[in-house]
Amino acid sequence: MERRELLAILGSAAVAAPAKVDIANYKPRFFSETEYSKLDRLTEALIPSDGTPGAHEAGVRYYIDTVLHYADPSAQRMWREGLAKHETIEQLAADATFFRTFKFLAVEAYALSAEGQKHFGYKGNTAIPEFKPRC
Amino acid sequence: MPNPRFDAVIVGSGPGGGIAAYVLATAGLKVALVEMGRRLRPGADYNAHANPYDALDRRLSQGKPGAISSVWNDYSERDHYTGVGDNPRHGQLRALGGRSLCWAGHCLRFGPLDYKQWPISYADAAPYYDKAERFMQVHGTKDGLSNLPDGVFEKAVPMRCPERMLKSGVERLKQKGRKMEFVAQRKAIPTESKPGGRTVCHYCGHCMRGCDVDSKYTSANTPIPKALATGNLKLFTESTMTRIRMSKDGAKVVGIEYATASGERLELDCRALVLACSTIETARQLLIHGIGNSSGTVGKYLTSHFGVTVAGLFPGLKNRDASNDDGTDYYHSLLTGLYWDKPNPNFEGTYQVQSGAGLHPTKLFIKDAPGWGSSFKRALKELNTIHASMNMQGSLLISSKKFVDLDPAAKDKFGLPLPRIHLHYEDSDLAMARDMVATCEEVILAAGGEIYSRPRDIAREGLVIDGNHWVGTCRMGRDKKTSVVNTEGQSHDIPNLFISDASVFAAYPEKNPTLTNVALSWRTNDRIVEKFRRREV
Repeated sequence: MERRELLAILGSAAVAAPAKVDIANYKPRFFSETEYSKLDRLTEALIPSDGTPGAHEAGVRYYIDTVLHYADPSAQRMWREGLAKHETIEQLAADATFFRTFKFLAVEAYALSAEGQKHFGYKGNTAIPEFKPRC
Repeated sequence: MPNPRFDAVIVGSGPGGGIAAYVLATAGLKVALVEMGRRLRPGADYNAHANPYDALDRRLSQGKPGAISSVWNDYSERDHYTGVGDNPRHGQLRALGGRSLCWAGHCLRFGPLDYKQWPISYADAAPYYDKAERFMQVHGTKDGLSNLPDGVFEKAVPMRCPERMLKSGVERLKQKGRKMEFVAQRKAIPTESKPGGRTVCHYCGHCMRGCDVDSKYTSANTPIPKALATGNLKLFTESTMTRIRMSKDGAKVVGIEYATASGERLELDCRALVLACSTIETARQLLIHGIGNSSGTVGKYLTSHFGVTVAGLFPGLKNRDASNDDGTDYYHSLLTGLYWDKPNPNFEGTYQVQSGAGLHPTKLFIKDAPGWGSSFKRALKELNTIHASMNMQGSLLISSKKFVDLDPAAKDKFGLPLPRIHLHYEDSDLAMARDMVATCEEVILAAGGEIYSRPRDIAREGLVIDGNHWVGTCRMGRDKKTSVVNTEGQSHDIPNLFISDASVFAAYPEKNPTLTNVALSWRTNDRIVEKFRRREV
C-alpha cells in the first residue's frame, strides 16, 4: 500500500469527528464534586502512575461519570452506594462484588484512553501496509 | 396508476439477497431489491476509528451503547422474535447489506464429506465457491485439507505469536496420532490491490464493528453497487414487505405489498419472487402466508452454531512485541479437522475452534487480575500479551425440538405474527461442548501453555448460541414431501418463488455459513436467469 492510500484511509475516519473532550475542565454530571474526587483517588489507587500513565492522567473519572450519567438507575445506585461505603482501595477490595464492577469499568476506561494505551504499548487502530507479527 | 413491474423482486439485502441482485441485474433482468433498513455511510454512520473519549458522550446521548460504534449494536433489531427453551437469540440488521455488514468475513468451504448429507455434491458447489471467493476477495493459505477445500485466495494474513504457539501444540498432538489441523483463517478481506477491487485491508481490527473503509466484503459495497451500475436494479430501502400477493388460484406469486418508512402501503408486481429475508424471517413469511409448505417442513430442521470459550497463557511470550496485533479482527486462526473421518461416539457432527490473541483495547480479553496498584497494572498488560483464546463453533444436532413457528399472540407493528424460535439443547450438544473444552486444554498444554479460563461445568445455561448463524427451516431436497425447495432453490409448490438465503441449507457442518450462502445463492440465481431465458417463468 502507498503512503497516499494510508493517508486517505486515515482521512476518511475523520468524517463527522466529535469535538475533543476537555477532561481538566469537566464538571461531573452524575457524581458530586466530592464523589468525583474520591472516584479519581480510588481509580488512581487501582491503576497508579508509576512510570507509565495512571488512571488520573488517562481521564478514567471522566469516562466513568459519563457512562453513569446515561446508565440505568440500578447501575447508578450501585456505584453511588459502593463509593459511599469505602474510603480506601483496601476497603473497596474487601467488597468483592462492587470491586469487580469497579475494576471492569475502570479497566475499560483506561484501555480505551490514549494515555492507557501507552502503558500497554499499544500502537494499533491505525493503518499499516502489511500485518507482520514478530515472534 | 399501475404497479411498478419487475422481472424479479428480491426481499432482503444480506449476503444472499445482495448476490441475487448482482446475478439477476447483470444478466439483464429488471430487478427490485426491497430492504427494510437504510443505506449506511461507512466512516460516518459507523466509524470505529473515532477517539473513544471524544465519541463517548455523543454516542450515549443518542442511546447507542459503548464508546465505539458498531453496526450490530447500533442498527440491529434484537427483539423481533419470541424465544422458547434454552435462550435462543436472533437479530436483524436494519441496513442495506443486512448482516453482511457485521460479519467477521470468515470464508470456509463446506467439504466433500459435508455434502454427503446434501442433495447436491461438493462438485456441484465448487465452481460457485470459485466465483464467490474471487468476487468477495478472500485471503487465505492453501492448506491441502481433505474436508476444508482450498480456494481462490489472495495473500494470506499470518497468525499472531500466541496463535502460533497453539499451532505448535497441535503439531505435537498430531505426532501422537491425533487427527486435527491448525490453520490461518480465510476471510473476505482483500490483501491485494486489484483493478475494480475494494480497498486493501489496513489492519485496524474493527472488521465486525463495520469496516470504515469498505475493505471487508459486504452486500452493500460489492454486489449491490455493481448491480446498480447495470441500470437494471431499483432499490427500495426503508421498505418492509407486508404481504406476498398470490394469483387468484394460489398457484403463483404476482407481486408483493410493502410498507414505506412513512407507513404507506404500496405494491410491486413481479414474474419471480426471491426471498432472502434470513433463515428465521423467510420461514416466518412462508408460515404467515401459508404458502410453499405442502411438505409441512417449513420452520423445521433449524440449526445453528453454539459454543464455549477456553483461554490459555504462554508465559514464554511475555517480552513479545504485541504493540499492533489488531490485524483482521480477533480471530486469525482455526483449529479444524476434528472428527471428519471418524465421528466421536458421544455426539453427532463436529466443531471447529476459532482462535485469537492480541491487545486491542476494544476487545481486551482479560479485564481483571488479582489486587490493585502497580502489580495489578503490570499483570493486565502481561496477561493480555501472552493470552490466546479458543472459541468453539459446533453444529447443533438437528432435532424435532429445534424449529421456528408463529407466535400465536405477539405481533409486529404491521399486525403480523412474530416468529417463535424453539431451542432445546440435546445431550449430544452438551457432549460436544465437553469434548471441545478437553481438546482445547490438551492443545494449550501440549503447546507449553497454562489454562487461564475454562467453563467450570458444561450446562445448558452456559452455552452460547450464535444468533447470526441460523440455517435450515426451508431446506432443499429432491423429495417434495420432505423439503421446501428443490436443489435449485425453487419452491416445490410455487414455480416462481425462489429462496436465496441460508434457510435452504440441507445440513450444517461446523463451518461458517456466509461463503456457502453466497455460493449457493449465486447458483440459484443463475438457474433463475436460465428459466427466464427459456421462458419458464
